[in-house]
Amino acid sequence: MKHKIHGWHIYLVVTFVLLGILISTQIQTQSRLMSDLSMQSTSDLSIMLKNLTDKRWLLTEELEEAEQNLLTYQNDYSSDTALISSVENELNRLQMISGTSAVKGPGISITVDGYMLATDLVVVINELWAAGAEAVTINDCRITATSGISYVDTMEKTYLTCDGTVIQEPYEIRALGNSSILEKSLTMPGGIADSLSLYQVYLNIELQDELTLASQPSQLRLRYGRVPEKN
Amino acid sequence: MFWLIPVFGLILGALIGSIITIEIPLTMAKYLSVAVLAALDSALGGIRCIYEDTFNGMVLLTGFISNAVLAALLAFLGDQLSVDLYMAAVFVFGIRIFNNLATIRHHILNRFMQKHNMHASQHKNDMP
Repeated sequence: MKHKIHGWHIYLVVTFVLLGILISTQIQTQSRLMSDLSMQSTSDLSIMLKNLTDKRWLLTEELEEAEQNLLTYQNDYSSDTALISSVENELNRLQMISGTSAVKGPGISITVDGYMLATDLVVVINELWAAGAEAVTINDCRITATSGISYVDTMEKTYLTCDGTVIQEPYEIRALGNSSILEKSLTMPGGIADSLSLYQVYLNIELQDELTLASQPSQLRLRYGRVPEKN
Repeated sequence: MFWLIPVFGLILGALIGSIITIEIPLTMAKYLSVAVLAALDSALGGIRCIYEDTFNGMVLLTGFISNAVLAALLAFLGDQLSVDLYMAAVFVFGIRIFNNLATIRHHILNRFMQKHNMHASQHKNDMP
């Protein structure tokens, strides 16, 4: 078979090599897409959601039962002596510190206006702890010793998460402590409020005489940790 | 054996593509698929031009690349304007691919028939 035009072999090979690369890339991307959570069908997702919600309800019920038990034990012994009451005071104090009980007092509430990153949120919280905050919540998610701030990416949007639950906008951070010191720690020149305003994120800080911070019911169970022997 | 060239090219390209995995962001997958469609159309158009003796290598290559890029850009633009230009690209390139395939098939059939007839006439001539 002879053609009038020469050199077409090379062009054709180049074109088809490029086509092959494109197609195989597309196939790979497609298979990645299929395994991506955001690309799952709505029915699959709703089944997954239902399973997880059921599990969560079961766990919440279990937790309630455990807390009920705790309450009965507390009631059983509270009628005892001064020793018991001092132990109870200690328990309350520890519960407030650990975040297992709600806590109220003076402090500041910060409403975040703008698009905030997880790392920014962590910086704000660290600043509050450093300024002597005794308890911090973000939209009713209490920050405890084992709390984690992170984010999840979806196709449309990035959501911040606190302890694995999504925090919905608007973000409201509450901190308990000396309100003027807490406020100064954020608004000092060159501080976090200044650097966030560069990214069009504004912190609206309100000083409050009385704030109530929610509790974090999940308790850390120690399965591996032990108290070391004292010598 | 000219039909072997695109087949080998395709296999070679697929091998290269699977060896060097190019990580495309998942949001771009849709645009890549339109680009693949446009590229497929151009490549088939090239084969068709060989049969019609109007083949030009530069035209094929530039058409191949610019069609793919433009189709992807158009789909992207459509998404920004919330108009499904993506569908328009799929529709147009789909029709063109089928057209090209049909034309190529006709040419191959014609060639085959001509050869067959030639053989037949030769046989006739051979006969005393």
